[in-house]
Amino acid sequence: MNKVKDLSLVSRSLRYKLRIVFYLTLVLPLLISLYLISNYILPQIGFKIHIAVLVIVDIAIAVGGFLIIREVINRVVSMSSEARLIANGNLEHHIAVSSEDEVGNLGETLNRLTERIRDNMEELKSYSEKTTEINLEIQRRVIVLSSLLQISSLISQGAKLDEILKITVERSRQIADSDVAYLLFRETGADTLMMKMAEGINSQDLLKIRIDIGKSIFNSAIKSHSALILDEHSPVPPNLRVQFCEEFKLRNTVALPIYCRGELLGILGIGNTREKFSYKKDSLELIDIFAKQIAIAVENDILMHRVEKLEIKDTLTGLYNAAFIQGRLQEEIKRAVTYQRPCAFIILNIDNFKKYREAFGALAWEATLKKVATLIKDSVSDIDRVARFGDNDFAVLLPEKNKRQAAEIAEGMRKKIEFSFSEEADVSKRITVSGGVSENPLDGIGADEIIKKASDCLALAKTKGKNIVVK
Amino acid sequence: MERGIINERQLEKALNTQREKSGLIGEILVELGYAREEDIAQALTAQYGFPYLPLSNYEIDPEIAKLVPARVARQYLLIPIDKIGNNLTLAMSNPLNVQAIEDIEMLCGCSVQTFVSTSTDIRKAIDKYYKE
Repeated sequence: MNKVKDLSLVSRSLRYKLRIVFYLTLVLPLLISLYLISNYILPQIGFKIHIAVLVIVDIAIAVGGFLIIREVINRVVSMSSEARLIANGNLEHHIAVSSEDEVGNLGETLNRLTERIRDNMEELKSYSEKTTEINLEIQRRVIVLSSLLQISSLISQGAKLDEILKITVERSRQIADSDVAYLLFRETGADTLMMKMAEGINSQDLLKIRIDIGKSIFNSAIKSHSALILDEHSPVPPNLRVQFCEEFKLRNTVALPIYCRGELLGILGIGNTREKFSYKKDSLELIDIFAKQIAIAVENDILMHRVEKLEIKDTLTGLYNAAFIQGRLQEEIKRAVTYQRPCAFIILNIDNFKKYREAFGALAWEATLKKVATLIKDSVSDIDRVARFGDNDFAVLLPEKNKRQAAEIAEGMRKKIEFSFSEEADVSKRITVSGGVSENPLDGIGADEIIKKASDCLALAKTKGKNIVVK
Repeated sequence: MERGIINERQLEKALNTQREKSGLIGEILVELGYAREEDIAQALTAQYGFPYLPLSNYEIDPEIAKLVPARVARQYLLIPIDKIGNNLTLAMSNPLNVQAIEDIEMLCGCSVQTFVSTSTDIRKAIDKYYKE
């Protein structure tokens, strides 16, 4: 089967087939003619010149025909090679067309096809570039959206303001190929801006910046509540441009004033050092969104602090909080001075509570705190005030009590707490407290002095071995 | 009232003033002009048996005065006037202030005896002996 396949002309090249045609149509008839002439014609009629001429003409015509066929075949083969070049991706290749016959037409057709393909390829390339740009834009907006989501989450979770500001400034830097993002805050009651945060190149140097608003490039933007755009095309006075570029070490910037309750809070800006750069509208829109996030975060922080100030109770124990008891102590001292009376203050601290918390966990810690709080609260009268004074500190304010009376009350509390936990099977769960007692006027006439004295006594109680009260 | 220095209406008015402005009743009676400081001091003397000491004529040893800090003297309106052995003598406007006496005993480690003096005299003495 394979031998038959090898003999078949179907898979052979045109040149091979041409050679076979040459042998079959020219060489073989010529050889037959020469054989017939030499064996039958020459012996009978002898050498005749016209027969020889006929034979030579015949050979010449055959060779001529062969050359024509070969030329056609060569052009077809050449066309095939050139078509293969184009097929291999060389769309710039142009087939040279030398005649207007079918092969020439074929070449012309191939050239037109190649041109069409080339046009389509260019169109596709252009679409591809546009698609890439769109994808990049989508990606950028996704990053911005996820950043906004992250910032919003931080705000709603009550994260620290500095942490929110840091993330916001970091994310702002991702806009418009920025080398730097910066946040200036207005100094309280002054017309100056201080660099609060900076991210990117030279950020350490930027942190030293302090600006007089009236003389700065930001002044007109602040007055008009609009953005400052400093790039190749922006009409900024040259002196301000130079001043900004030297101070910030940037060539371009977009900055937006941030307002909170109608007051200027600061400036959020991005910048880079590129030459011939101009900002797009969407960069401005994005920085505006981040600036608004900062305004929300600051407003939220102000409100949270206000709420904290208004709160007087500790949420875990239900006792008063430290801020309340401090204020109340100052008031009670004033009253004590007016009525020539004493006023006492106790601080109690749970002994070894850090170890307790590590050993038994936060839930057990909270439960114990609540129990101790109740025991302390039950040991005082209605006019006395009990507060949670720290993680595991309690404070007791005793109006009308002098140091001796307060020390007796503190000692009573200490014993009560010790007894209450004495039944615990696990020795490390047997909670005890140490206490420090102070009094106005003996230990001072200000709340700070009284608290400090009680704290000092408490520290002394700890060094004396804990589970005691020192006055 | 028993001594005929003030009447019931004056006492009532003084108590009303105390409720409004706060302060000690003896001082308010003096402020309203219903009684003199000496009357208050003598009433305490008569009622509770505290001896009266007119401080204006009394010289205090500055070293004795130093036994009690100025802030304590000013708040409790008292001043140490003498110390013999472990006994400290105080001049007070209100010798019924037991907590103040306890504080002084704790502070000085002495037992305390008290004399009654007028608030004005004690304030003058405090200003004189506690120059800050």
